[in-house]
Amino acid sequence: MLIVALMMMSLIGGRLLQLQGLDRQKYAASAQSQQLHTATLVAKRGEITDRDGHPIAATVNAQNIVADPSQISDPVAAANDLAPLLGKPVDTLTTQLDNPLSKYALLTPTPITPTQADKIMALQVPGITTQDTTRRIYPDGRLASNVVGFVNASGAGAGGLELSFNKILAGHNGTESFQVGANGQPIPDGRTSLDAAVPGSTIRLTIQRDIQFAAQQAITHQVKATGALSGTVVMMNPRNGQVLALASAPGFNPNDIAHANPNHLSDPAVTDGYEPGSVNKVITMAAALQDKLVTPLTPFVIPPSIKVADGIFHDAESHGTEHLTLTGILAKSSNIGAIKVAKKLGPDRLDYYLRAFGFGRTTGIGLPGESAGILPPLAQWSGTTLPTLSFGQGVVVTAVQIASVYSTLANDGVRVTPNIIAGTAAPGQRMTAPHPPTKRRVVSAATARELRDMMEAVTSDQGTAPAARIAGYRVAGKTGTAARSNGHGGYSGAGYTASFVGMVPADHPKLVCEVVLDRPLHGYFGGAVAAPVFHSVMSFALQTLGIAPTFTKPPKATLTW
Amino acid sequence: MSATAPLRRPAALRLPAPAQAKPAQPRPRLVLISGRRPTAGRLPFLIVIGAVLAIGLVAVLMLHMVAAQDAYRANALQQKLATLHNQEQELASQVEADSAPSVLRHRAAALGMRPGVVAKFHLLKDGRAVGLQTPLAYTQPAPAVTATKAKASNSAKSTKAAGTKASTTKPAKHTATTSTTKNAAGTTKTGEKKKPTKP
Repeated sequence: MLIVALMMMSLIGGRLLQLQGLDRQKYAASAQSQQLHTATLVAKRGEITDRDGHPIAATVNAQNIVADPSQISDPVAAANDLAPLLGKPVDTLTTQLDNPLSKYALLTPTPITPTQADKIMALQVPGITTQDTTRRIYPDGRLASNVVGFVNASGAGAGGLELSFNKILAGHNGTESFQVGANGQPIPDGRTSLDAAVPGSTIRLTIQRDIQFAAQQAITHQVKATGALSGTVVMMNPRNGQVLALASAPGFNPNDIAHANPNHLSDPAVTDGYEPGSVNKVITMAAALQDKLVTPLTPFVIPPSIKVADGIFHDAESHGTEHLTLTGILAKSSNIGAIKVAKKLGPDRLDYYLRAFGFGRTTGIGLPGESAGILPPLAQWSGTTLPTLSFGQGVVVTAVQIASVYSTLANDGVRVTPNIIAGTAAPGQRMTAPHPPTKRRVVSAATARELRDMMEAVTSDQGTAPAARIAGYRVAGKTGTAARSNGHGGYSGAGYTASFVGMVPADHPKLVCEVVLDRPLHGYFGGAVAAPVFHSVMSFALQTLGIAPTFTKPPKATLTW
Repeated sequence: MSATAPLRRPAALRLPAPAQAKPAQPRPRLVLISGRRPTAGRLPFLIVIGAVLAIGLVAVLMLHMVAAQDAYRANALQQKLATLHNQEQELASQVEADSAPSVLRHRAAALGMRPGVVAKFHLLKDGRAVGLQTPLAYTQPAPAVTATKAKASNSAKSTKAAGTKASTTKPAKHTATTSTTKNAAGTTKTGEKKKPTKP
């Protein structure tokens, strides 16, 4: 009897020793894992706003609906209840709810709003639970989508500023551990650890949403009307280099990225290069004026054609021998005139000024995927490079590069690095501005003023772009109608790139606006297809920003002699 | 007392003799007392201790209950807060969505409004005026606006047409379906009432 009792005691004792002593850690861990639940706290992604703080991209709380089929006894009834709220056919939902492998599969393809989720949870279907998440929304859809970009299905930046500023925008996810009851419900006050999520920073752009919208509307309309491949509008404040609008068409709706054309997801204003054509003539002339080789009134004899090295160059419209001043060459956009000016200048100086104005390198605007364009190195110039470059062929630029050139002239010869980020703000902190843009003098204030006066002649009745005029304001600008490269080393059959760049008011420019249309089919002269867009967007911007006219008279332009 | 006694001695000397003789009188006898007497006093002590423990226990229990209650309340309030936060956020994003330029433009166009004009500026010095007050030639789909307008008026016309059509065909149908239960006056009335909502 005693022996039996002793054996029993030792057995029990042994088992106790095993449980408490040897396997203690294992059981403690498994108890811990049963009682302790760790949840991820999703960090809220920072907003991207316009210059006045209106969100262009924002993140809102959202919820996923998930199902645990093992807890659903009647999938058909559950599907019948849920189908109308989930917007799914009953039979597909039944199959999903009946399939044990679909445990915790999302019932909603995209997260839904908490209110919608509450409605679904109010049905109290067993086995249906919610998961907290967030959703990226773009309140105005297409507005500045080319700049802002988009996020992928998991909410990470996948294009535009969303991608290049992903680190700043994303923040850090946190974790929360708490004890749970037998059914998995959290025990009140049973939280054991909290590593709070750190929300992402807000990024404020220099974009003004109304001007951006007007620019997008106008360019979208004109791209359609002219049958162009694409179009771009850049609006800048020349004093501080801030971009007020950067519109392109056709764009995409970041709220519906699945149906967007993958070719339209970039920002052509910085990623796409084109040959600028005649808008480039201002650089040739600025260089010659700055080097004191010419004055606005210097007379030139313009023959019907000109032979340089092994190339024969014509003007866009054939003419007899003309007698034009430098201003006349710009106003009538004479290629032959530009070549004559460039010949006075020589390759070294033209190359110097093209680079000084920012060609051949990125502008520093800070947008992802920016192209530097192509400016052939001086050593590779052939005999025809100088004349071709003088009127803007044989060089590839981006729209922002050209806008920057004209901003430099508008800002009395000082180039201010274009910028589009007004500031960033960590959550709960003040907005901090980025480093102020760098400034560099390219030409003298006098040269810039002379050129602006000359460019006013472009919008006169004798010039190439009377359509750019805005009643009451002095408008200076330049048209461009460049032959497009056909990709086989030639220009035939590829159409034209039409553009207009201008500034208002001409005597004291507050705004610079550039319009580029890629291969318009119905009309192709810059003055005919791009200048009207400039007129529309610039009028709207002057109105929106309350910029008053200067009440001065334009100088009398002398185009011929 | 013994310490003061020597000091008093001179006075004591003057006392009558019998007083000096008194100490020889019988002193109280020392007797062993029973050891049980204290046991009678232990019970209240135990009761006090017990009461303290009980009160302490109840207090701890109450505290726990209150804490648990508060935890539930805090939880409920937190949930409410989260719900309100979500509501606020949804409303805020609704406001943002409604004030988006494209939406505003659409609504303004629906109200028959058109893009603005370039303001006229007057120079105070000499009263000169520049600018124009005609609509911008180009501020976007003027055709779209007129198109929606035309559509709207068209659809209005068609509603009217449908309405007049309904008035001629509807009552007949109605009388046909309801003639068994209602009189003619009642049916035409319902017929008329339905007209505006039907198309």
